[in-house]
Amino acid sequence: MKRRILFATALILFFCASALALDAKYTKEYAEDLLKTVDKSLYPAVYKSVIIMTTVRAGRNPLSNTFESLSKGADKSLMKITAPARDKGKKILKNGDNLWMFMPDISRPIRLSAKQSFMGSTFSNEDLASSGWEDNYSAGITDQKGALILLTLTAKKKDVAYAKIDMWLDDTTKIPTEMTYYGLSGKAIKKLYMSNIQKIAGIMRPVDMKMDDLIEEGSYTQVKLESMEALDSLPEYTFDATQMGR
Amino acid sequence: MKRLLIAALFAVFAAGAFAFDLNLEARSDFLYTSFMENSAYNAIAASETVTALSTYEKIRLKLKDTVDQVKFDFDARAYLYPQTETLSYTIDSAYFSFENGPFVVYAGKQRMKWGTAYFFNPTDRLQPAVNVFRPTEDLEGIYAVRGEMTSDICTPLIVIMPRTNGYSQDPARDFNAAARIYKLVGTCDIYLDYIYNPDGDSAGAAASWDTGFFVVNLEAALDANPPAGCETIDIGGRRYSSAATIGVTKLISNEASIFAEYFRNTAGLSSEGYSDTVTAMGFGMPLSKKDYLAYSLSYTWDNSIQLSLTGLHGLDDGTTYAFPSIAWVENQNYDIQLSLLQNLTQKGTREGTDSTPFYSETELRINAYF
Repeated sequence: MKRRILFATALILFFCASALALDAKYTKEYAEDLLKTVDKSLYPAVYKSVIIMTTVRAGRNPLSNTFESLSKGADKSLMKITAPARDKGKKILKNGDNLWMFMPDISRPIRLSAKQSFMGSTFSNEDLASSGWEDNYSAGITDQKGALILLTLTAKKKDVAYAKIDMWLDDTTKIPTEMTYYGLSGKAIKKLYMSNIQKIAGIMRPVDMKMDDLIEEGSYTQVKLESMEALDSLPEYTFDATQMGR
Repeated sequence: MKRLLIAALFAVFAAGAFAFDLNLEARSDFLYTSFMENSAYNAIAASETVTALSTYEKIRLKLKDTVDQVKFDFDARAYLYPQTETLSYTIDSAYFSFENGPFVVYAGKQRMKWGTAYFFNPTDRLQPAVNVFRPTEDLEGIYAVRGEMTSDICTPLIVIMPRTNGYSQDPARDFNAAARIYKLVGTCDIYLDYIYNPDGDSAGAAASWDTGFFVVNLEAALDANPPAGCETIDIGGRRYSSAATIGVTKLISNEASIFAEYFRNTAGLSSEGYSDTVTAMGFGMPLSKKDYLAYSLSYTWDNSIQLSLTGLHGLDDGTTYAFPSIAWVENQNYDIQLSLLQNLTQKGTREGTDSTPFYSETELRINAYF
């Protein structure tokens, strides 16, 4: 009897292990290459775009802004608010670890703390710039469900916004569908859903994003990519704080 | 009122016809003042009718257009005072800019606010704020030609401003000029500036540094035209008055922020000097002493109620003002703001009682944005 139980247990463990096993191709090198591809699938190296961002917080009025954005690389972006009329003309510039706001009424840049969230949304400033994951995180594939694989990103350095990111993505399209962000304590703090895949700026990209705040229940920010155009280059003066009034 | 409406309608139709980027803001303002009958009040009452309740309608128009490398920017505000049925207007900016790569030239009436601090900007000698409690409001530009060029090393700027208060026989006295250099070092903005003024040059430096925990703002300036009798420092045989501000800003959460500033101005008046001024002029000027502390707390509740408290404290004599405000922003295209400016100065402190003609000002504003 004892032998039968042991045999049955071993059989179950064998089948479970087989089910959990990853394809042999999912090596560390494959994961790192995949991360580079994902970076490119979401954002061109240099681009301009129009986005609509709506932030909903539990029991509060939703806030909506439309931005025209110019971005270059992983850490440079200039966003101009075009709606609502109350905030039209305000600009937000991110250049590396620096963040400024420009208000036409006073015509000078005002330095903001780069660690704060973007316009009171669920997104941090780091989330909204091009991802730059390749530079900041090492990647490994830790799970698989059919065509979907789980890419786990671990921070290479301490000054990034998240200690770990779990990214579910479609291995055929290389487009992420769901991402969970973990803070330094190891607790999941945000969850991003990407959907509505369309051909935009030459390749298939997610047009709709929704970031859930897992700390503040019921709070989320939705981003809709209205348009995106890849550019050959953008001059460096675009990202000079003193040139925000141009 | 008809003229104001016709002007606004004309602008709207012109914007459509010429494809300008148009912004229109409208405001109804109601102000109730509880006056203090002192020397400052007497000076005002001698020249105009003083009423406890005053109101105005304001329309602000902003137009922008771009043709190739040339941009046009126009920003004007008009006021209608129903009590006197008078209409007045101010053009804050009207300029062209021409861009060629990293080089850009602006010509016309334009805003040029310098400095990094919020309340007190010793380096902001070209475009000083009109209202210290609302430093970003209603800044009328200055006539100037300004050139800027961005490079990898730094961003230099040169400004030439013709003097608009008459001309002299000496061309060197008919203009002011300024130069500024900007450099980003790590997470710190650094500005160095020099202003040529025939009545006395000034030089300044400003910095704004994101430490990660908070943002530190620093400003200092030297002025070669110090008022008689003030504290000065001697550099190369010339006497300079000095002014400096140190401030910190901290975002506590997405809803709350705080900032504080200390301002020291050696050209400010001592208590004795202030008394002499009041005796000579009949009244005193607010914020004309040496040391001030300013602070502000703001909190946004439910994305629609904005609460703020701004305070100003004169360290020389205890002059104190408090400026609490509550704004209801139900919709992003309009808001309603109720504010109170309270003069909390103790009786006997000369600046608060001789230069401020009121105990309190209660203001209701209804703003709409189109």
